[in-house]
Amino acid sequence: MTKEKSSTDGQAKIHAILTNLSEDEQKLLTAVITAEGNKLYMKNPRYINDDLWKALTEIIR
Amino acid sequence: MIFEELTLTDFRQFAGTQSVKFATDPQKNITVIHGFNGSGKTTILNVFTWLLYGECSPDFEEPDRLESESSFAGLALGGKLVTEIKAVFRDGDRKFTAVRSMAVEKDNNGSRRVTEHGKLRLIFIDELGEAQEPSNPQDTLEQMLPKRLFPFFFFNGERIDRLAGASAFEELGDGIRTLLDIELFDRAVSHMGGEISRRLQQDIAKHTGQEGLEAQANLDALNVQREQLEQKVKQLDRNRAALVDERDTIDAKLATMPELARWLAERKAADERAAEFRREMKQRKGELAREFSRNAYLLLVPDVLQTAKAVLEGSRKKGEIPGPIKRQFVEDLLASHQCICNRSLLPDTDEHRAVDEWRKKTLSDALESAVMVTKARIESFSQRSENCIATLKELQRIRDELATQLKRTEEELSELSSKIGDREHGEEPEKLERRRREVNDQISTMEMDIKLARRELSEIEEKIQAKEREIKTLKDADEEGKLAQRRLDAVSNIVEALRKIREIRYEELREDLSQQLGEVWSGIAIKDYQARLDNDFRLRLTKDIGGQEEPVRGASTGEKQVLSLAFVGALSAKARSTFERAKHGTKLFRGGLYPLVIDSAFGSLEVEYRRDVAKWIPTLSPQVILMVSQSQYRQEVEQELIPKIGKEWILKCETRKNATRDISILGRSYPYVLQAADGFERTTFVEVEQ
Repeated sequence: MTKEKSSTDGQAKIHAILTNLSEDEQKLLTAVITAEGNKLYMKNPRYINDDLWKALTEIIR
Repeated sequence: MIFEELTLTDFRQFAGTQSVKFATDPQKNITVIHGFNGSGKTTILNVFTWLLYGECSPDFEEPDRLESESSFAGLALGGKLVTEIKAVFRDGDRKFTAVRSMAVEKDNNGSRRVTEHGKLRLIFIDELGEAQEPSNPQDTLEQMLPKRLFPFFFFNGERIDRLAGASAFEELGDGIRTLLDIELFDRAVSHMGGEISRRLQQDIAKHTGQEGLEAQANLDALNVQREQLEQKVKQLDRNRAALVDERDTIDAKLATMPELARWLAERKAADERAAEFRREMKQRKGELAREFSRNAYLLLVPDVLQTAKAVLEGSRKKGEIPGPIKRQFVEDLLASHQCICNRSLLPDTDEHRAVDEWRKKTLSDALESAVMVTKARIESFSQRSENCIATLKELQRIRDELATQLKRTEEELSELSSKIGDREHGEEPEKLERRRREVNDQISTMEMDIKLARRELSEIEEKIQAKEREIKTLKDADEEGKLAQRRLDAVSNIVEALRKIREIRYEELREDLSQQLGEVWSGIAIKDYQARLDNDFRLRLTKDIGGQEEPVRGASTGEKQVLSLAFVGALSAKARSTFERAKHGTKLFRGGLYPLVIDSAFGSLEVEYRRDVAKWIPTLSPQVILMVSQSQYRQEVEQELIPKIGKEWILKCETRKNATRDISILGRSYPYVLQAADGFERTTFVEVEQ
C-alpha cells in the first residue's frame, strides 16, 4: 500500500468513526483532545480529570 | 519551532554578548557552524537545553558553572555577572522571544555566589500586535517542544547510533508516542474510561435508589478485589524476577569453574532447545485452538451427511427426485385449459383431473434447486470434514512429537544437573547446583501461581465490566441519575471512538514510517540489509538468508548512525506532514515543525555515507543546524550542502596555547584558532560571507 493510500484510507475510516457520534459527542471528543493536548508535556498531567469533567458537564446537559 | 536568532551573554566560553542568526528560508534551510575541538560546539547544544528546560545534558561538565570564566575574572569585588540566553523563534503563526538568565555575584573575598537560578521569560506578539507574557512560561515552552522530544531533534551525531539499539525504545518510547500523537489518545482513553467513568457511575448509583447503591457497593468491592489481585500479580512477578536473578548469580559462579565448562555448555544448549520446544508447542497449541474454533463442527457432520445422502438416495430410488416433470410446465397447461395433445383441460373434467395429478407429483422449483444445492454441498462438506480431520491429526502429531522431544531434553537437563552437582567436583558446585534445582522448582511454582492469579484477575475484570453495564442501564433513576446515564453513554461512545482512531493512527504511522525508513535506508546503505519498524516502533535491521529474514547482528556504528538518522528523519517528516494537514483539515492530530540541531553529524561515517547523508540531511526538517569540525566537513559534504546553506558561522577559538590555525571557507580564509592575549579561553561567532 502506498503512503498516500494508507493516509487516505485512514482519514476515511476516522471520518466514519466521527460521523457515527452525535453532535454533542463530537464536541466532547474535540474538547477531550484539546484538554489532553494542553497537558501533554506533563508526565503526570495535574487536574486533567477536572478539565475533562468540566468539558463533559458543559457539553452534555 | 523555527529559530531565527540566538543571543548568548557570558555563557561559558562565549564571553560578552554575541548573536547568531539561523537560516530560515525553506530553500536554503541549513545553518553550518564550524568549530575546532573544544571551541564550543557541544556548548551550543547545551545552550538550547538550558534555554528550553533549564538543564544541561548529563555529559556536560560542571552544569552549575555556566557563566563566562573570563568575564567573572574581570568582575570587581561585590560585582554581579548575568549569564543570559535569548532566542527569537517562530511557532506556528506566532513569534516568540525566550530569555533565560542566571546571575552570580563576586563577594568581597572574591568567591562566587549564585544569586539567581535560571529564570525564564517568554514573550510573544498576539493577533492584535501586542506583546503578551504567559504567566507560566515553562509550561508554554514545553507545550511547543515537550522535553521528551528533545533527544530526537537536538543531538550529537556520533552518539545517535544508540537509537538503533535494543534498549532505545525503552529510553525514547514516550517521546515517540508523544511525537506521533499516540500518547495523547492513550491518555484520553485512560482518563475518560477511568476516573471520569467512575465519577459518573457513582452519580448514577446515588440517584437510582437502593438498587443503585447496592450495584455501586458491589462494583466498589470488585474494584478492591482487582486492586488486590493486581498487587498480588506484581508481587509474584517481583518474586519470580528475584529467583531468576539468584539463578543467574549461581550460573555466574558455576561458570568460573573450568572443570564444569563442558557440562555447562551442554546445559546451555539443552536449555535453548527446551525453550525452543516450549515456544513451538505454544504456537502449535494456538494453531490447534484456532482450527478447533473455526472448523470443529465439521467433526460432527459425517453422520448428518450420511443420513442426508441416504434420504436423497431413497427419494431418487423411489423416483421422487429429480421431479419427473417441471411444475411450471404443468401449471401453464392447466392455466391455458389445453394439453399439448390439443385436448381441452377445462376444470372438473377427467382430463383436467389427470393432468392435475401430475402436478402433485412435481417438485416446487425452490425444492428442486434446494435438492441440487444440498447434493453439491454434501460433497463439499465431506471434503472439508476430511481435510479438517487430517489437519487436526497432523497438528496433534507435531504437538505430541514436540512434547516427547521436550521430555527428553528435560531428562537430559536433569542428568546434566546431576553431573554438574556431582561431589567429585567438590562441595561448592554440589551446594550451588542443589540450590539451583530448588530455585528452578520455585520458579516453576511461581509461574503457575502467576498464571492462576492472572486468570482470576481477568475473571474479576469481566465481572466489573458486567456491573458497569448494569449501572449504566439502571432503571428508576431520577433526573440527575438520567443525566449521569446519558453522560456515561456519551463517554463510553467517545472512549470507543478514541480507541478505534488510535488503532487506525498507530497502524498508519507504522506503515508510513517503516516504508519511509526503508526507502531512505536502501537509498544510502551499501549492504543489502533491510530496515523497517516492528509492531512496537523498534528499529530492525534484517538480511535475507536463504529466503528467511534474519536480524543483522553486529551492524557497524556508521550503519547504526545512518539508520538512526533515517529514523529521526522519518519521524520529523511525519510530524511535519501531520502539522501541515492539521492546518487545513482535522484537528485530531497535532504534529509539529521542529528544527534539527546536530553536533558532529558526519562523525564516524565513511566517505560514501557522508555524501549521501549530506545530500539527504536538508530534507529532514524545515530547519537544520549543523555543528562540524574541519575533519567532518570534507569536500564531499561541502559540495552537497552548498546549495542549501543559508547561514554559515565559524567559532573563532582563543586558547591559552601558542597555536594558530586558519580555516578556508568558500575560498576565503578565516582565523580559526589563535592564542588568547589574556590567558582565558574564549569563543567568538564569525559569520561567513555567502
